[in-house]
Amino acid sequence: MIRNYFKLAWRNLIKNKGYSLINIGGLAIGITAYLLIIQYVNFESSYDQHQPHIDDLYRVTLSTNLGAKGFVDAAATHPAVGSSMKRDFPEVDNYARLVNKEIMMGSFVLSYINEQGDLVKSNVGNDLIYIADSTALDLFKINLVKGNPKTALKEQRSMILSTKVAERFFGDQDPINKTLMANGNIQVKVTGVFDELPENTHLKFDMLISFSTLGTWTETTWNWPEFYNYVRLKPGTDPAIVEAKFPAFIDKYLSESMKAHSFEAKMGLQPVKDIHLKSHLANEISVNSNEKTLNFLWLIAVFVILIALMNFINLSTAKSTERAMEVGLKKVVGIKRSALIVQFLFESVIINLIAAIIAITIISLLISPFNEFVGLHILSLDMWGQLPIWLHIIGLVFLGGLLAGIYPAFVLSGFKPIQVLKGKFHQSEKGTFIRKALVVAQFTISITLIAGTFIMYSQFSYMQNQDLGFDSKHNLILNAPMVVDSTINDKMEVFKAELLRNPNVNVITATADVPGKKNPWYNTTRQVHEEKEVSVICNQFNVDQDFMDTYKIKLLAGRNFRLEDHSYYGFRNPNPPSTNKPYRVMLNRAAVKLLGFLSVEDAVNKKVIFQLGPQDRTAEVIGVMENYHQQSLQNNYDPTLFLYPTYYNASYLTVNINTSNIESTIKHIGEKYEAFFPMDPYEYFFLDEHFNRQYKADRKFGQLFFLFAGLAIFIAALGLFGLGSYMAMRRTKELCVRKVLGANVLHVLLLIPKSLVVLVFISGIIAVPITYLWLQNGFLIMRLELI
Amino acid sequence: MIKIKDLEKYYKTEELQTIALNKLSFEVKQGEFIAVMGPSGCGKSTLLNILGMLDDSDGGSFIFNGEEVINYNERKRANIRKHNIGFVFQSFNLIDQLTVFENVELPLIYTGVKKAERKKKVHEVLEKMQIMHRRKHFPQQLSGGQQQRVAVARAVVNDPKLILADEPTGNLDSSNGNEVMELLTELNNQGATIIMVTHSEHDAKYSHRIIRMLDGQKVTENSLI
Repeated sequence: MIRNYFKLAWRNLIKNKGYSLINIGGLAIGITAYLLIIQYVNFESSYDQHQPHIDDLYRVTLSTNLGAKGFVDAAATHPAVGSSMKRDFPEVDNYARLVNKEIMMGSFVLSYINEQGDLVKSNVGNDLIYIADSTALDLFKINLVKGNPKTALKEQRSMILSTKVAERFFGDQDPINKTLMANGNIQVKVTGVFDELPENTHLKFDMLISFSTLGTWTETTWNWPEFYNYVRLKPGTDPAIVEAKFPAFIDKYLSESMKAHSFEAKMGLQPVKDIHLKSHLANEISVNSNEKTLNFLWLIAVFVILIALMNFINLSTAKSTERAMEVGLKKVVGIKRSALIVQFLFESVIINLIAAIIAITIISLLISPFNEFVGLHILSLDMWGQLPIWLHIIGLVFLGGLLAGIYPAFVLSGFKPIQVLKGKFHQSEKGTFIRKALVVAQFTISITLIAGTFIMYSQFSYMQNQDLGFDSKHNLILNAPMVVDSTINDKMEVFKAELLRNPNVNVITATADVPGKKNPWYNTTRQVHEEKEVSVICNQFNVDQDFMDTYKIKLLAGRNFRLEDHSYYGFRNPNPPSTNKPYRVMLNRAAVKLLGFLSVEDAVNKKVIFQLGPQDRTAEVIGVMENYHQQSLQNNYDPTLFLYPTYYNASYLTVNINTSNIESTIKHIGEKYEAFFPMDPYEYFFLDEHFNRQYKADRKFGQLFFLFAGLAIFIAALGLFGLGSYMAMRRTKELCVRKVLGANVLHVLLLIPKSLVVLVFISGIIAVPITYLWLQNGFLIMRLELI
Repeated sequence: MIKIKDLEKYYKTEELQTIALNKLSFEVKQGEFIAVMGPSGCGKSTLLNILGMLDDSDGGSFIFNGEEVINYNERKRANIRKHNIGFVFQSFNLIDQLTVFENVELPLIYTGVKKAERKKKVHEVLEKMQIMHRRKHFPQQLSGGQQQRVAVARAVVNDPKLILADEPTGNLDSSNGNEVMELLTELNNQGATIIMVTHSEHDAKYSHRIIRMLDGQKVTENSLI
């Protein structure tokens, strides 16, 4: 029986080569797209699942209401949290703290003696470096290929490197016990080398420096929420039990600070396994994905498959008349209807099976192009050795086969033999209606997807062409020298003057940050007469008197900084601040509004109080500048307080240059830099490129979306082509009759497309409100209110 | 009205060449009713297709209304066809998706007749064929006789000078068949020239002249009047 089914299925495929091609081709593309998306989604869902004891691993979160504007949930908390939890909570098995080296040392230059014995300076700008507890090696899967995991990060000033970094620094030499020099004066010893971390972890780094390097103050510090605290609970502990103890815990350690600075704090535990998809807190350690985005991709996968299955249903019922004779005759010789249904379902499954085999072949060929396309190592031949993907394939073949086959099977098996054999057989109106409905459904989906893609693309191009509020086109960014001494301020002025002698250099500014990423410095601020409780959060940005000029930011009221205005004494200032020098600050428009001034003019010469470190400081507002986008257009303007530090506190130098002779200008700047700062590497980038990198993830998703939406349309069009050509064939007689009666060629040519175009048009009308609703619900990741 | 001389038509396949029409010649005068008879495969239908300008010939001459049309291209032939010739087929060839009214209306649409005029003409001809009450039905809802009456109505709605009928009663029972033959006779009486291919001696008797064919050639020609 089965053999008979096979034979019939095969002969039918061969007999209708064109339709088989459309059916199988459409399904194969559909299954390919589905499996690719599933692999992508699975990869995104696999983040951190490989960590040991992942079900007991949590990150401590901190919610504070600095100021009266509600709580801010952050991924980072105070350095003393981890060790205190371990001491106070018996449920805590172990803890580890990590802090970005930037928080501790700003920019960072490492120098070392390489294989050839040369002194190499590297500003490690692209490397992720954290200062971490030695227990990180216990909590996370970090595979040490050299060094002892128990001791590697114990000692002060020890560090571990990834294999790639170790090779880059030391070539074939054994890196263990080699010494690196951080910022020219801190010696760090290499005590371990670890395997490159997999891509699917939220916690990526290239180097770890031992936490003990920071000193013992970290064990008692409760006012610096920039440290990532991870805890592992004892196996099977309900996190709610620990969370229930947090209020008392906070009361014990933070109440004094909360009283002094009038804020409240809450803590929580966040499962590490959920961080990548679900966590969108302030101070995330890396850019996380959005679960919604993934669900949406998954939806596309299902749609693509559905469209392909609809093709199958359409074509098989459309062609059912051609098999009517077979059914009629079989019924005459006594076959049961159920046997016919099984036969047709079998054929449907076979077609799905062939499509799946083709899809597997296509995917195997697409491994490296697809990985390159998404920028992640998602596909590999190993995936064919894993069960889940096969479950998907088997599910698709059988469920898809049955789903697509069931309607045609019932239609075909329901033919009345008498009618068929007498030739009085006509296509039912109902069948035609269902086909039309399916075509409309296919195109509604496709048009909606295309509309979504189009909207996303126009948002991208809008964002990239939007006025950011500053000049991004002519700004060259250098890493500010890190290996500095007490002469740096004077040296910097001479360096600036030297650069300005080049006619292509316009103006230079030294700043703590540049637009293109979140400014990590913020604290409470209020008008001088306000109570502490109504403080608001403002970013704090260290600039100098040339900042506004270099970035071409408009002055709205008051005046710009002057050389004598520098007033903020940085953490790195070795000398105590002079008490009688007044602080002078500038605000941007967003800060003026947030602080509650009546107008930009109103803010000038007023006093504000801002917190710096643990202290409140009173300062005079000397001027207000226009807003600019510190981050991508998806973010609002940051209310910002601009400070002009006395002591050198810059991470970047921005050089505004003319666009003519860029090459020689860059070379000239480089020569001067090397001469002035021989211990620092000369590295530079262009601000616009740096800024646009923020859109990389969105653009990637947009491309992915575009690809799969395009495939959906293609499959739907393929089906329409099949249906159209079938209709043309079935209506040959009609077309001939019309020609005999005098119809011209054009008229006959348009007859078939006309009926299909009407369906596509109806789909368009249905797709419009769907697209609109979809935008309303914010399914698209962009914020429309900004546009 | 029609004059053909030495008309030839071959059908070629890879292996052999079949002669469908072999130097066939005859004339038809305006207002005549001709029956063409002969066994299956003798070339009757081929002849009708060439006369209806649906098919090319491979040689000879074909003068229609004093015009040599043998070398006309498809567009020119279609133009002559839609203004001068009506067709009636054995299998009716009505379009399933169109109603009776719409089927009959088609030739008028293609000759560019205005809508109001079309409606008037279609109603006239449906009255004449006594199927006015069925004008909103679809072909598959009618009996064979009714379907053929619709087909005849469609063939004559344009007032063609020539009606070509290919076994018009072939799919009908005798009483329906007679009705169709009466209709054709009446049309002939009103001035239409009719050339009818038939297997039925009975039907042939309605004509003025019978041309008998065999292997693409005319064998006999006998006048019945």
